[in-house]
Amino acid sequence: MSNKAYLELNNIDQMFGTYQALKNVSLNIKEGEFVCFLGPSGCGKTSLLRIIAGLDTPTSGSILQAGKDITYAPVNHRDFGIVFQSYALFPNLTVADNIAYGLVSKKFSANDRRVRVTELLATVGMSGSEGRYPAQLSGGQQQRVALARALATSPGLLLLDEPLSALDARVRAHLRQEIKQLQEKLGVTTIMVTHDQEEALTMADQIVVMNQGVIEQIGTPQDVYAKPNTPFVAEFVGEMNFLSAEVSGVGVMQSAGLTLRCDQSSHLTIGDPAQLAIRPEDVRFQTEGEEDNKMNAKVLHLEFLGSRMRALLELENHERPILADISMNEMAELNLIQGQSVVCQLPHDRLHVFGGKA
Amino acid sequence: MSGFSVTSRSSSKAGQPWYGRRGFDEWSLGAILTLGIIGLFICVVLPIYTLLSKSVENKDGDFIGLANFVQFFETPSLFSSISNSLFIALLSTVIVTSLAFLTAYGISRTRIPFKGLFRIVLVLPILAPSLLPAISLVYLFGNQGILKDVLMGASIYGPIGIVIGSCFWTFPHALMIMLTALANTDARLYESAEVLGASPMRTFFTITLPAAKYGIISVAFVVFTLVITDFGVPKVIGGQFNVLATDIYKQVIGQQNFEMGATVSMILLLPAILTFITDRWLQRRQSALLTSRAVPWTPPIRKVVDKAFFALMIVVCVVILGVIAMAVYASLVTFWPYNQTLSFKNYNFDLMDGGGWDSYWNSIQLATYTALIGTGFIFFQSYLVEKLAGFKLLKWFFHLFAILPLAVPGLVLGLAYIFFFNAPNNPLNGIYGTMTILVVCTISHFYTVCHLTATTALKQIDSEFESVSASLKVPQIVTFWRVSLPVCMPAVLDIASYLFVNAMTTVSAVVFLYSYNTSLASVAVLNMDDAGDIAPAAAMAVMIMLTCMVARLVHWLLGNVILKHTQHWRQR
Amino acid sequence: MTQKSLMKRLSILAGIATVSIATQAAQTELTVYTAVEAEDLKKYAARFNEEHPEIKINWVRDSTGIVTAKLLAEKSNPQADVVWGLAATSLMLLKNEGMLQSYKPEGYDALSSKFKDTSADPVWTGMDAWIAAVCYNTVEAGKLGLPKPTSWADLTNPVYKDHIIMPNPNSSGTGFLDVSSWLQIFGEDKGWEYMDGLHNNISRYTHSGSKPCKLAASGEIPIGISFAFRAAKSKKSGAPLDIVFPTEGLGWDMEATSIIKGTDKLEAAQTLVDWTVSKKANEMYNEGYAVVAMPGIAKPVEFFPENAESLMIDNDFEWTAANRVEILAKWQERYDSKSEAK
Repeated sequence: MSNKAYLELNNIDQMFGTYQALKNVSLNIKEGEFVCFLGPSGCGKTSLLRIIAGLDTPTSGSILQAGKDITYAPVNHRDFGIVFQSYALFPNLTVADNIAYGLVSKKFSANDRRVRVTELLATVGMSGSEGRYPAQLSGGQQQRVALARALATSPGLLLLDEPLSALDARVRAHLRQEIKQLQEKLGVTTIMVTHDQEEALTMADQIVVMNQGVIEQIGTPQDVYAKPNTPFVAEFVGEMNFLSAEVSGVGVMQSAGLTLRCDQSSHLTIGDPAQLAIRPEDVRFQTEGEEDNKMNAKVLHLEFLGSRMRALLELENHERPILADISMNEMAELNLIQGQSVVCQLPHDRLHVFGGKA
Repeated sequence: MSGFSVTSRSSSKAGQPWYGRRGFDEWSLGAILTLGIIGLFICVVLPIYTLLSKSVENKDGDFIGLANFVQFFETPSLFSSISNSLFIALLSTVIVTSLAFLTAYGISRTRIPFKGLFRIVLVLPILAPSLLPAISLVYLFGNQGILKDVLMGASIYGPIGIVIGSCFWTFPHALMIMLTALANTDARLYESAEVLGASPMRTFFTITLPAAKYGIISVAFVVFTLVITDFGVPKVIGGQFNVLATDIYKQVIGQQNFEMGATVSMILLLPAILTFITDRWLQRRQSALLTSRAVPWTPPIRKVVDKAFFALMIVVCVVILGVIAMAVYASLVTFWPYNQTLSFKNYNFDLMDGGGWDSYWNSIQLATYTALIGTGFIFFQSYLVEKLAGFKLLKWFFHLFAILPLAVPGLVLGLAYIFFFNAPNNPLNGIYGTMTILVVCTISHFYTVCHLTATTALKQIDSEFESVSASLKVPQIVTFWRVSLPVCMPAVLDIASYLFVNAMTTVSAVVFLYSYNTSLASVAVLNMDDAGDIAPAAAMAVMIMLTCMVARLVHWLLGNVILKHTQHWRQR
Repeated sequence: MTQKSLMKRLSILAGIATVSIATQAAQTELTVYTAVEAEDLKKYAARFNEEHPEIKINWVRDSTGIVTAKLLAEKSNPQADVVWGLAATSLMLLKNEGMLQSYKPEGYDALSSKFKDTSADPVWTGMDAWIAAVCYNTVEAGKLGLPKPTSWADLTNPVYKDHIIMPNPNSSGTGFLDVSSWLQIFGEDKGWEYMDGLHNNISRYTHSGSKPCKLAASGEIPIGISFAFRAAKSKKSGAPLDIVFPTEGLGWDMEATSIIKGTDKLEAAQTLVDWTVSKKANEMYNEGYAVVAMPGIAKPVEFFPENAESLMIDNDFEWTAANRVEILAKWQERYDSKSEAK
């Protein structure tokens, strides 16, 4: 896919006793890319990060960084900076000493160090905090210092292990933007581990969705959201309604009492079990024009979510209710109330088809 | 992207450098860890093994199975020591556990004034050798004792004296565990109980007591072991009441019967090991209990309860201070009871048994070396166990060896050291009879508590420091020096002070190991008492206590004045 | 110990072979094990050094039982060079273990035969006799209305119940000489019978032989069975004591000297042992002990009876040494547990 990979992971397996944490993971990352490893806890994303950092060794497979095999290289022979969830700031050292920690061994002069620290603090927006101690900083500030420390030695690779999960929501949203901007400015190849799909969607160039030790999908945020490869990705990234179905014809699915048209799926033949999936915001109520996949539904429940309204719909001829999100503008026109019947549509180009049973 | 052509797995192994995935850094630290394990193996495991094998050998070193044990159980006077030991240990355990619970409750759960002062007084006995209360009791309740009549004709020489003396010196150990146990109660539980209308009594039995349950059990086991393995107190005030610990001493010292000494040692090892296992088990249970974040609880004002506890505190403190004061006073009386003028005659140790003032300076030397070398070794090794990546098997062994000394009474360890280090074919027998063996033995004896203190402190610092510094290409040893050590400085000082005080006061292990130029103050107390020079013995015990007080004061100054300066990062 | 030597030892500990850096100092140091009373050790060393300043004595002092136990414990790796002032019965024990160097010191022939190892290759030489005595605190006895005993037999009188302390023969040389003398004075059966009676009056058995007298001196107990030297010292220091020498005869042991086999400082050791039997040494012993090895030396000692030597029983050391283990075992079985006998 890419002509020049900065980091190559080839067939990485990781065993902990009999438990296989990573199964044949292969991945290429281009220079300057921001990649998110996304998945629920225990999916192997942190294991993968630790292998890249050299904190763990893969059972088999190889890692190449800038063309050099680093599979078995000790941590301090590798070229990366890392920010942990806990920040791991040295509590007894000042902000300046923390940031300059890696510069001492790089044979920076005291003056160079000072200049570099000032520069980095400016970069992370904390100028003038040199003499403070970590305990005197807020969580967000500690986060920035940790970032500055990781960047101090200008590493080729920046590893972020759930860097925002310890912060409260408002700070998190704010830092998300800052980190992304900083990364773009510096152009440093960055891998971030997160379980927060929103974080991944907003920050990453590429998202690597992982589940149970395997990569489920690699793609841009738009791809991953709009074209999930597997039911897992579909469900983990964003919200998704699932309906089990059976292929009943070319481009036709039968789900309980509903016959639904959908886009041609190449690998399924008639009679195969399948799952149909649709995002709540893709359910339509303004149904002029297209006639496919229309049906009657009953509003079971309405939930106000601020910018939109979430409706639980009971579909005619189907036992499984689905969720539908309605923008407040649309809502103003529809004027739905609980218990009301309504016509809705599951547009065929928005229906995802996955083979196999739920 | 994921469709990258499969590279051969074997070729990636070929790219592995000769030193593997560990840098020079990690290999050298791993080597130090290995040396540490070998050190512990030699200083703890091998001597115990030698002792074990002695207990199944006869005088000529032939294997005779359990014959020594059979002989032990067939000798009625030896066998009766078991029931004596059990009786003393159980009684002391009950007394100390209840007293420690009550006083700890007073400190942590009531609103009495002067808590800080009470606390200081209550832990004072830890600074004195265990012989001090015993000697003091002689002056208080002996035949010339000033309070002799209180006993109404009963003799202090025997179970009464042993129990009082044992309670005195084990009490601070119990109190400290109990305080920790009671410190961890969640205010929310008390609030719920109040809301649900539970009576204070019911609250106590349903919340306070269960929460302190593991602490209480732990205290009981610790006191039991301390008492059953101590021979200082029964030696001084036991009269004809034989206990297992004095039996070992008599078998070895009096009758030169080393094999029987080894046999009794093995029997003494049983309760200690039982305690050890129980304690390990409890710790595991307890740590699970404490994972949730508790809200600190402020005790309500309860006039009657507070008054009662205040009175209790006063009584306990008066007893403790009284015992100490009696020893100090007795050491200053010229010739008890016939010449009550005060003088320093009894401090003229050079005319007495026990090695004179030299033994005091030797003790200072032992304590200093033990504190310096011990703290350095223990803390650095604990650091490696906690913070060095990999070496899982080594660490497992290290932890095992580091925990083991807790289960070995000092008396047993001292005897084991004779057998092991004095064997002619042992290349290390050059250290026998030197200060080195005393230092090594004392460090080994008190290893576990220090190791656990260090480990606890190290566990509290972020486990990613080493990863971060490795990623910054800073050698791990530099991070140890710049970060881990300064951050753990309070724990390091605790360890040093603990080792110093114990090296000053310990008798049990070193009594078998000192030689002419390494006689020790604590042993001198024993020997002077043994020779009937009780007042000088009291004087030396007082000297030891004063020294330990000075050490604690230095510790406090370092901790509160100097450290406050270097540790201001702790303040927000 | 100096820091340097500690470092040296640590390096041994680390398994680094170090060449011994002990430079041959002008002074030879001898490690001397002793049970001589602590307060006399400085004097002994000083007198010896007046004539032999080239030899430095490092004392290891403990009670007889402990010194004996230490020597036995170190049998395979002896630490001592010389034993100066240990009970002859203990030395006989060591002799049987083959731990003593045979040596006939200069002036050996001049000693009275009682104080000599009579075997062909003598290994020990006697110094002085150390005789049993009873310390009687007049003040405390007066308060309790206890009569002053004059004989061993008196001590079994029930009025003394719980008012007597004696040393445990298992750890104290004095205790052992008491027991062995009673067995010789009264005969074996009667001797044990006597001890049964005495045991009823004993408040407790101490570890050390001097402690009963010191306890008596401090009024902790009215009567302490101890030895004459200690009794005289305590009385001299002002304690209200009467020293009783029981009429049946006094058990005794002698303090003796020997060289430990295998010492690498044999020459210095011999020099020391030669001196310990010299006239000067005997005069020094006489300052505390009424009966010494060299005939014609002894002058009366304050608080000692003038006829001390005649009160001493005809002690059969061979018999004592031969039966030591059995006697001690029997004694322990009968008396060494309060819960049993009392």
